[in-house]
Amino acid sequence: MPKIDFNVKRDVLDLMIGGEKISYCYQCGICNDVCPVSQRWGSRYNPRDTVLFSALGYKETLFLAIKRDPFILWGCTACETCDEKCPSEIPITEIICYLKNAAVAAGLTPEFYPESARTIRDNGMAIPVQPAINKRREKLGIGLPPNIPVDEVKAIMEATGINKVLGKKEEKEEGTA
Amino acid sequence: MTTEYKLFPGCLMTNRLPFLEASAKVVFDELGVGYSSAEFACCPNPVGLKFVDNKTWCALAARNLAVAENENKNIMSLCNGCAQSLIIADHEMKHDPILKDEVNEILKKVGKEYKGTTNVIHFVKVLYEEVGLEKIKASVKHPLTGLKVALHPGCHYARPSHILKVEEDVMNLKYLRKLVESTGATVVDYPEENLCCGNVVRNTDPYTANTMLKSKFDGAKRAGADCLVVNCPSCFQQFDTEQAKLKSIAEEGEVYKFPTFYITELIALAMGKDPATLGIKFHRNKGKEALAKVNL
Ligand code: SF4
Ligand code: SF4
Repeated sequence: MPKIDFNVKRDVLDLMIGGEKISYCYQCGICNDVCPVSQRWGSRYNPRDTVLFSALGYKETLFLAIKRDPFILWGCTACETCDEKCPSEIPITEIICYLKNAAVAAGLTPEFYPESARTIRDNGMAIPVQPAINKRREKLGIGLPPNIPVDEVKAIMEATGINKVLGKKEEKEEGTA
Repeated sequence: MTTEYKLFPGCLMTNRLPFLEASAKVVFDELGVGYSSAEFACCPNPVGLKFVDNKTWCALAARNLAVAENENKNIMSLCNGCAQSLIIADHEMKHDPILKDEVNEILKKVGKEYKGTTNVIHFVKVLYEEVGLEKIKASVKHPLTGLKVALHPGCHYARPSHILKVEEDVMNLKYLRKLVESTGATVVDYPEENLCCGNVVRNTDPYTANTMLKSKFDGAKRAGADCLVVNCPSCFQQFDTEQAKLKSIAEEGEVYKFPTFYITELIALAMGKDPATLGIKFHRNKGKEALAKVNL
C-alpha cells in the first residue's frame, strides 16, 4: 500500500484555478493522446498517471519515480494542449507546476531551473543585458533598454523566501535523454 | 486609460533579439500605435521561475503590473510568455484574495501595491482588433504576393484559453493568419501548426525538443511553405537558433536552414521597409530564397 500524503492531496485540491476538478478525472487518457512528449516517449511520459497519483496523494511513490527518472515530471514542455483537451477541464499544467515547485524544494530539479532563478535575482532578468547587444540596439535605432530595477527584484525575492530553496545544493540531473 | 501602451518586449527580445523589437516599433510607428517604455523587470518567465516557486513568480509579475498601474496604462506584450505570465498572475490574484494579500505584503518592501487595474494585451490582438486589417492593408506598398507562409502562433499566445481569452477558437487561431494575409502572402496549412516549439523541454532534454522542432519544419516544408511566421521571440529563437542542432537527427541529404520571421518583420517588409535596416541579416537563417521570391 503506497503511503498517502494528505498535504499533496489537499494542496492539489486547493489549487486556485479549478484544482477541485481533479476528482473528476476518469482516466480517459486524452491528455496522453494529445501530449507531444507522450507521443514521442509513450509510457515514459504520462500526464494521466501524474494526475492520478496527485489526486490520490501518492507523493512518495511519485517522487521516488521522479528521482529515478526526472523526465516523468520535467519532460512536460508546458504546451498546455492537455488542459485544452481534457474533457473534465482539469488544470493539468497547474498540477504539474505545483509538483515542479515541490520537486525543486526537494532538490529534484534539472540545474537549469534554480540557475535561471538565480540569474533573475542577480540581474533582474532571466536574460541579462549584453554590451554587444546594446550596441546593436543603438545601430538599429531603438536605443538602450530602460533601467532594470535589480534592487527591487532582489528585495522581493528575499521576502518570498525563495533564497532558501536556491541556496540548497541541487541533485544532479540524471540521464534523461 | 489612454491608448498609449507600456511596451513589454521581454528580456529575450530586449537583450538577444533587438531586431525583432526594432521591426515592431517600425510597424507601430507607421500604424499609429502609441507606446512608451517602463522600468519593468523579468515578466518573470512562466516556464522558468514559475516552476521554481509560484509565489515568487506571482510577486514579481505583480510588481510589473503595479508599475503600469501607477501610470494608469495598459501593457502591450511582444512575447507570448510575458503576456501569459502577466495575465495569469493577474488572474490568480483576482481569484485568490489570500495570495493577493501575501503579494502586497511583499511589495510593501519596495513601496509598491498591486491593485488589479491594468490590462495586459498581446500585440497581435492590438494589431488585429484595434488597428484593424484595413489600415494594415492600406499601409502595404510592397505586397508579398507568392510568399508561402506556415504559421506558428505558439502555445502561450492563447492557452490556457479560459484565462487568456485571446481568440474564440483556440485550436484554430485566425488573427496571425489574417495579419499574414494582409501582407499579400499566402498561408499554407500543415498539421503541426499547433505543435509546441519545444522551448521548455529543451531545458530538460534537448533530444525531445529537437524531435519536435524537426516535426515542425518537416510539416511546413511538406506543405510547401517558404518560411515560418511567429509572434513570440521565444519561439523565434527555437526555430532560428536551435535549428542548427537538427543536424544530428536529420535524414540523409536533409538540410535544415529554414527561415523564420516575426510577424512585424513581415508587415514591415510589406510596408516597403528595407530588410537591411530592419536587421534581417541578424537572423541565423536569413531566408534569402524566400525574400527573393518577393523581390527583396
Ligand atoms: S484528459 Fe483529463 S480526465 Fe482524461 S485522463 Fe487526462 S486528466 Fe483525466
Ligand atoms: S502541457 Fe505538458 S503534459 Fe500537457 S500536453 Fe503539453 S507537454 Fe504534455
